Amino acid sequence: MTLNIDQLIADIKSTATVILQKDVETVRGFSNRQLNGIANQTALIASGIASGQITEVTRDFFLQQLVELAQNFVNTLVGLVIATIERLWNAIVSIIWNTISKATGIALPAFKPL
Amino acid sequence: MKNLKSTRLNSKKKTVFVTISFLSTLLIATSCAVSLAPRFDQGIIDNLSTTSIEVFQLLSEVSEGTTNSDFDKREEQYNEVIGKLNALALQINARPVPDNKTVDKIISKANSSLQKKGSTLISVNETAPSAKALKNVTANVTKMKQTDKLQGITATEALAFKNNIELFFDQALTYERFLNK
Repeated sequence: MTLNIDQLIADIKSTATVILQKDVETVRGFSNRQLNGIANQTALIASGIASGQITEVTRDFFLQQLVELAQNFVNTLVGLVIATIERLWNAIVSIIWNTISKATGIALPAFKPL
Repeated sequence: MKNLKSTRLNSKKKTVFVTISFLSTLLIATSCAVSLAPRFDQGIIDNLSTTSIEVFQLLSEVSEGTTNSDFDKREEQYNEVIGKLNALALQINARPVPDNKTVDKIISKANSSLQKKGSTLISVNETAPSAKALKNVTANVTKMKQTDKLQGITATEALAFKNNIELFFDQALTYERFLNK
């Protein structure tokens, strides 16, 4: 029975890198869109209130919505990070599982991500 | 000299073997794949996309502002859109959010320090961010309908509603697509 530690590490690293690169790109794009959008909306609301184009009836609603936007942007980011961690964890466990299975010749129960 | 070398080698092999046996036992015993995020659902994404098209159609109609005198012409459209948004919210909320004690611990720690700063709290372990986003889209369409009926909406208000809705749909769609492993 042999276990090539160097190969195991290399496999884990490359899988993790692929997952992270793809996910980080998505998260980065999302953050840019949201932050620009929220900034622009803040400017619109401010000038709209000043000019009266945003009326008394909707003013408080729009101000509150700015808070909701920011809050759920954070919630979504946290959600994306959690999904990335799950992907990483399951991918790494899968690699270890297969490596051990090959090295020991033991037929481990099939790996099932929940 | 040779004996010492082979003893060391044997000891190393033994360590590796013990480590592997331990790991195997651990893995078999715990079957340690995790589910931290909700399950990917293509149906939710399809419905989000379809519903968003209808919402943007409505927004496009009111984009130059409205007067409440012809609100009756738009009322049915508002109601249809709100109905679809509510149905979509049900669909998202029906999908369980995985319960993970470690994630809960981390988030409650973060929330207790956020609370001290008077900041808003993270709720992603209880409600999917896409569900919250959708709730806000519905709130915007509802407010738009109410304002339209009361006094009409200005072009700036229409734009502000549109921007909110776009940003919230972006949150919902990005999150839901991201769940696809």
